[in-house]
Amino acid sequence: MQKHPGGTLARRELHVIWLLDTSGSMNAEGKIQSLNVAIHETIPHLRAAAQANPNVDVLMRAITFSDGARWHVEKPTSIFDLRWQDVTAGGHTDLGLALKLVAAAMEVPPMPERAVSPALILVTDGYHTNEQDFDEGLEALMASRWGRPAVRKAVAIGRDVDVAALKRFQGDDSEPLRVQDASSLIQAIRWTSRVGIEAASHVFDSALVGSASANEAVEW
Amino acid sequence: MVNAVATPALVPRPVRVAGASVCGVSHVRDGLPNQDALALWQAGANEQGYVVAAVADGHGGARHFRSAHGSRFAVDAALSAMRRIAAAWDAADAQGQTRIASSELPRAIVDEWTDQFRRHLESTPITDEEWETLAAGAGADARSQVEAETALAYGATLIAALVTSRQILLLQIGDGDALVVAPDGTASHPIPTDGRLTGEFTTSICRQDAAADFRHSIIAIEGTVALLMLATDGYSNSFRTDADFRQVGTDFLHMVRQDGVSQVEKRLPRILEHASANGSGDDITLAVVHLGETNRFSKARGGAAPSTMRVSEVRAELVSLKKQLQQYKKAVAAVAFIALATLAWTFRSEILAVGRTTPHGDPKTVPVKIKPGEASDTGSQIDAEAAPAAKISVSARHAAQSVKVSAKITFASTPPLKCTTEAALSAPGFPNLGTAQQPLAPASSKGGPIQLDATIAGPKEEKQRKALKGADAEASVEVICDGKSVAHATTRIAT
Repeated sequence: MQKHPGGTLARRELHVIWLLDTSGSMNAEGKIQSLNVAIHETIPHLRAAAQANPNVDVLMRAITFSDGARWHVEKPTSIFDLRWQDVTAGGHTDLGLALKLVAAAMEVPPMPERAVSPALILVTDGYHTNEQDFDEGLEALMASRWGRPAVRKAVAIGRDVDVAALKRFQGDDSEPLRVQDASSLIQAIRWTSRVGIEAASHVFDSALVGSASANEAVEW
Repeated sequence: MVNAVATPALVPRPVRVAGASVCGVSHVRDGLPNQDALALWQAGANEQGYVVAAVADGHGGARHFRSAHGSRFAVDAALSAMRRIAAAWDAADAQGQTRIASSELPRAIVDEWTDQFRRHLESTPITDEEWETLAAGAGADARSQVEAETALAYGATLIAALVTSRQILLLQIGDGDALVVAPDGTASHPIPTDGRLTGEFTTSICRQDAAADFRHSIIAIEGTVALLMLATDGYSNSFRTDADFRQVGTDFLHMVRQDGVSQVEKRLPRILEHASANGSGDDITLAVVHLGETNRFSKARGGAAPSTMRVSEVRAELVSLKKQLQQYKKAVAAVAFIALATLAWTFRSEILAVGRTTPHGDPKTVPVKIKPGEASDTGSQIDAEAAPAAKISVSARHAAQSVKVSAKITFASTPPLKCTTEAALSAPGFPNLGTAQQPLAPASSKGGPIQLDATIAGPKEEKQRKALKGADAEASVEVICDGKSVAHATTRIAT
């Protein structure tokens, strides 16, 4: 067979990174358990979304932040291969350090120069511990190659959340998704994670926005 | 098109342009049309051989539900505006060219595009179904956005090129890629990047002040550019890295040198569909302009850029030439066999009479026709630089050890100027036996019939052509068999 012109062909990569608050306050009212359940339940939906876009490789990663920030899933892992290990909570809320960690990951390399805009999904239930770290982390993220064009969505759990900081993270005037219960957390994580995937094929399922906070059976 | 056999003659090849547009596999899957558009135009000989190529990519979002029309209007607008401005551009000084490229032309294109989409909107108002689809895809607020800015529905990107004998003018708004490929195969992006283009974000011809978002590049061709490519972003997005994509330029140059633009054009849809299926899934549109390269070996020998030819490229060229030579030999042998059989039948009585002592006999009739006239369009290939020119047709029915055909135009200037060109040698059943620079020798070792069809072009240089305007010129052709001139004809041609 005749060689086709050009180098290696590749499907476009869509990097989705969850930034998960695992501070001590997440232990209250079963929030951390709900977060794990939400992610477990979201994965099949993301696989379905990825299957609908066979020309995009959906690659997942996760960062947790409490006392410091660390990779929970460091290697970009195909959504089809992702096996979720539950996260546990305890400590402060070093969101700024998590932003610094993700900022470094948004540079080229390690990111490819050609990709679908990444999706960064931040889930938190409180206020970050260190303002300076947050400012520096956000600045580094926005200065990185893929940080600014990334789809950045935040999910605020409960009522005691620094909404202003989350709006700065999202970078537009839109409100972060507010969730008050386990069911809506699942919806919110599912929706925010799907936004990036579906944007790649220009199918934007905005109907899910409304349902994200519809169920208020259990309040946090 | 057929390949030239390498000789030291410095004969310019005409510019060739080709292109294709394919619907992306993801669009096929989602029931969407090909939202890309392609426009190619090549002037005739009396229009300086200008070439215009344009590709456009209609936006994919729900708000841009008429972007397939928008991309068509974009390439049409570019083609129309560039054709109109081509002569003025060519004649302008550097300052004038910058003004045209940075402001006049973008404005003209955007104005034309705006006129076209408005006319379309007027004749085809947005239907309830389109509004419903929009609401389902982008929410209830989207309708008011589109009503306030109807151009959104038609949003598209655009890359357009105007190619003259000396320069390339490139214009771009939005994403996609222009690649220029140097004679040594090195491919590069000539248009400055726009920092706003990341991920799915793009500038667009549909936005207000779109003319200000155009980027441009002006490139001098001579010795620096062998191939120009324009592609919508579905192509580059199909490759792992930019280096993988730039390799496309290198490979296409090799392909057009080896097989010719026409052959490559036939393969384009398959190439682009393969890239879409295994890469981006997006629509892909590609325009390829092969610039009039002088003979590659003569250039390498002549010292213009000998060091730029890589060893691997030279090796590839030699392999290619060896292959061509083998094919040529096989074809000549086959023709010779058929010709001999035909001859044997036609002249069976004479052959029998001559006997074995004079196997080739005296030359037989060699009708030679020379028809004055201009070179004209032949499919996508246009001898844009050809006028004045002569079409020559030689029909030789002869058995000979060697046939040599010499064809030329001689201008009665001081000193006399002679022009020769590529000629195609053919025989019945073998329409494209091969080509050779004149003189053509040896063409056939075992006999005719031999057919030679050639277009002999005048000088390429505009200055030379102007200087020769009105000068007496004569086209002539001579057929020499086994060292004997068997036919000769001349005719005067207009200059």
